[in-house]
Amino acid sequence: MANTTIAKTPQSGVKLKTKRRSPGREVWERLKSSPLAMASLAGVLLFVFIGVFADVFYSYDYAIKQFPLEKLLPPGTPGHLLGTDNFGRDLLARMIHGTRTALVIGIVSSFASVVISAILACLCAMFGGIVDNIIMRIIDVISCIPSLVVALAICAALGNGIPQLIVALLFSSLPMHVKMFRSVALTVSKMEYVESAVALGGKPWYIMVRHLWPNLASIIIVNGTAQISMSIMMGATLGFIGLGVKAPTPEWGTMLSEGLKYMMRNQYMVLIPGIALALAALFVNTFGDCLRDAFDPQLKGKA
Amino acid sequence: MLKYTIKRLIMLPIMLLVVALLIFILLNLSESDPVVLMLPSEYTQEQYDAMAAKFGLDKPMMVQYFNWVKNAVQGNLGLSYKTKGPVTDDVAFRIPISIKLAFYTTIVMIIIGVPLGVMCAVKQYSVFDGIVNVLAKFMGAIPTFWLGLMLILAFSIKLGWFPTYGIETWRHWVLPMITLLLPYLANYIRQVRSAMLDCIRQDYVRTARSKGAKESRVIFRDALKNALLPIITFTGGCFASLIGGAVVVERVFAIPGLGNKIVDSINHRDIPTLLACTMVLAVFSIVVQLVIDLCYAAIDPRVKSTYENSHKIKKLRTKTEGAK
Amino acid sequence: MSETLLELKNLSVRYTTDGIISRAVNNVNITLNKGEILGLVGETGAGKTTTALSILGLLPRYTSEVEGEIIFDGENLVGASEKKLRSIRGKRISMIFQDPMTSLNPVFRVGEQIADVLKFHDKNIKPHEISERVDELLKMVGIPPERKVEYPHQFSGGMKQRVMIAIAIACNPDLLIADEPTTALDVTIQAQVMRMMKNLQKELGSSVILITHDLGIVANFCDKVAIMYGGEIVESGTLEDVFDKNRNHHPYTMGLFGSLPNIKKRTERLVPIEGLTPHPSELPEGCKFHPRCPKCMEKCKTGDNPPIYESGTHKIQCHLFSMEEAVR
Repeated sequence: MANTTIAKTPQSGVKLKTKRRSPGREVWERLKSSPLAMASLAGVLLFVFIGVFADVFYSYDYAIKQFPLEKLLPPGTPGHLLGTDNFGRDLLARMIHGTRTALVIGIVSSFASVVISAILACLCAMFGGIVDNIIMRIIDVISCIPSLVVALAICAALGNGIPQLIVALLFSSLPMHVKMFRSVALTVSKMEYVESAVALGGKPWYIMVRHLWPNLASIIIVNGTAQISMSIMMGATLGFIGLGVKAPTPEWGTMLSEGLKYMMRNQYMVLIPGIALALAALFVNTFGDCLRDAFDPQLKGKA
Repeated sequence: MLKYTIKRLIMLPIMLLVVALLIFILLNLSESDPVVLMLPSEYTQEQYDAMAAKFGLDKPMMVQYFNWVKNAVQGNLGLSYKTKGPVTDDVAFRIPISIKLAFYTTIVMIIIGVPLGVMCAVKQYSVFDGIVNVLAKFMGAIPTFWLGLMLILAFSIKLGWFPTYGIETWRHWVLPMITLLLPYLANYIRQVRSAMLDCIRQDYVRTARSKGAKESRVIFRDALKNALLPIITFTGGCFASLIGGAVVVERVFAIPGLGNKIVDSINHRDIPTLLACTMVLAVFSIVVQLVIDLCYAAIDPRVKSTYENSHKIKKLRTKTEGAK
Repeated sequence: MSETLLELKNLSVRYTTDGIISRAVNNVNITLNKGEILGLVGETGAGKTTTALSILGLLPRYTSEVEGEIIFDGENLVGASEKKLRSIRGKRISMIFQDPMTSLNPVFRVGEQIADVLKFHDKNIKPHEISERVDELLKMVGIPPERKVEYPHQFSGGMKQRVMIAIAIACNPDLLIADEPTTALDVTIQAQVMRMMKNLQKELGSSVILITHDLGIVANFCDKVAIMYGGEIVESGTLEDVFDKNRNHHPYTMGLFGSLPNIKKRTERLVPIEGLTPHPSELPEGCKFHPRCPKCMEKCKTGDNPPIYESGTHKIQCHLFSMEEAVR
């Protein structure tokens, strides 16, 4: 006896009568069905929550306020849950505000990076020729130098501070994204439906929006998510080296480098920011992977 | 093929010039004045002018740039603002150290990464695959400098198995290499796995099986040879990236390599040293990229024949045009 | 009397992915004798390729299940060990795949890929013997032997398919399974390749299962025909049984022939079969063809599969003929 189950996903070559759902909704449905995706999303949202509502927990002034008599207290001391640093500043408050710093740096630089990369990639694909050449030569030059060094040089040039850091991270991550987006854009632009659009008199701008954008959208989102964790890491690395945010802004990397000197006896100063960094990266990376699987289940399991 | 190589090599000096210009511009944008950094905290105008003249810093930026290029081409990379000695002294001995670090790490990465990646692809969805995946995720999430510090804490300070700083004995290399390796390894395994998965799903693998081939042969010969192409590409990319990316590791473990010097020279606005280091990195980057492309062309018959055929096609064209 | 070479008994194949069960092949029964050519006809999604892959044991290991028996020369291949299957693949049963563009390995020379089959099944073969045999095979399929050092991308589609044929016949297999060998080729090349295959088959005396949706090729090449729909054989018999207009036929068969343009008749429109092929995970109850059948009756819509009506070698699975001598 035929013992059948109704198909939920259509297979190639055969039409099925399923309800048409928007791509966004499909992705969300797939995400919902994966416990890993939901767990990592929860982690990400937790960090976002802490970052956004940092002021609710502790005011910024409290995070930079020094208690001269309470230096280097270990975690668990009443009044200072995570202890204090060498300047007598409350670590918990600094960690919470550090979350906000990390998120701002990560999200803004990542967003700017992928958007600019996408625009450049579209320009390369649509106009080709000289435009493509110039853009790619510039990208080649930037990619000769390791990305960290690029960021270092820009930070050195512009000085310390969050906007400068964001610019540095933006430029150092451009080459990778531009190359990837450009190759997708080029593949799409060579497709026949773009050829026919051009033959029908479509203007470059129209073709970019109508054809290139939807194909790029999914890898833009996936790359953007991955870039967030890379930016947070690199921002922390720069802070560790001494370039990055202006003291006394709380930032995990800077806190780690301050803790270095006291590593022997007060290990918590080094452990706590590190764990936060690792967790943030873990959540964002895992969510990014799940997001990529949700966008294209055929790629499931692949890098 | 030769023509292609020559074309790429010609680009090399041009790229270097542009990179140098970029660095010049960037560091000149900075607010700190390198001359001030070289002088004691109290100085006179004459002292300032003398110091500036000594290092050619009294001239406008573009003139400085051209002077540097002129000298560099002749092998003179100038004097370091920090040590006041020749830049080559500071930089030359660091090159082999950084390369060694990157090279050994790459070798270990290949030895561990390729088999693991291939196994994961073959046993997709199995427990093995799952465990490796999870481990890779964790490894990739750990910040490099923090990992280095933790390793120092655990193995050097608490357990005393390995020394903390320097590079005298082989033991000195272990912790830095582990720190450098882990974050890259995670991504490497995933890339290998992805490349293998792509190949295993191809029709020609099914053809090989239908001929009666053993599964091991299908994987390690028919599939892997195709997967080698992308694997070689990103191995080369990793190697190039490791040379500069070791900045943090060199810092944490006090290894006298290029990366360490770069940070140093940035902090001191030591432009000549920074330029020299960056030039070295850029040269390596470009050369490694070129070598990878050549390897790719040598291995992939489709690319090879494109180069060979374009030669023949040109000959044919000139022949027919001559006949007209 | 011809001996039976291959017998598929109640063969069923089920795929399970993401919790969805697709019943690709359902209770298929086929008998093939030595030297016979069977045409397996059906639309895309009917289960023809799955049947072929199951004979060679090439179905994906973890997502497919096979029930029933595949008796090849007296032995059951279902559940046979990998080692046994490997000794058969390429040597006694070979397959020619549908898309020559992707079926050859791009990084190995063509000669090497043909030599592989020889090396797998004869450990003691000497290099010069291999070389001679490869040259011989290439000549048989009409390719100059000097080209054996070239790579697949240097060959055209038709020539690639010939290389595939050379690989398939290298060890003189008893059974050759050709899965739509000419679908990906131009019509003129199609004719060449089919002619060549016909000659080869005569020379070697192998049995052939030719999978196709092109009735013209079947008419020119096959001795027996089996028509597949929804993973089942709905009609089978000799070429005359199935192609003769004046005999009884399954409504699907009639639909297939009716959809062909006839150069002699003047028609305004072709007569297609209404509806679409069902997806293997959404097969209808009762007779699987009933939603599209112009002669559908009440009893077709529910219950088990229709009984099989037999008239000599001609078998039809349909309720229409059960009023006559019905044999289940």
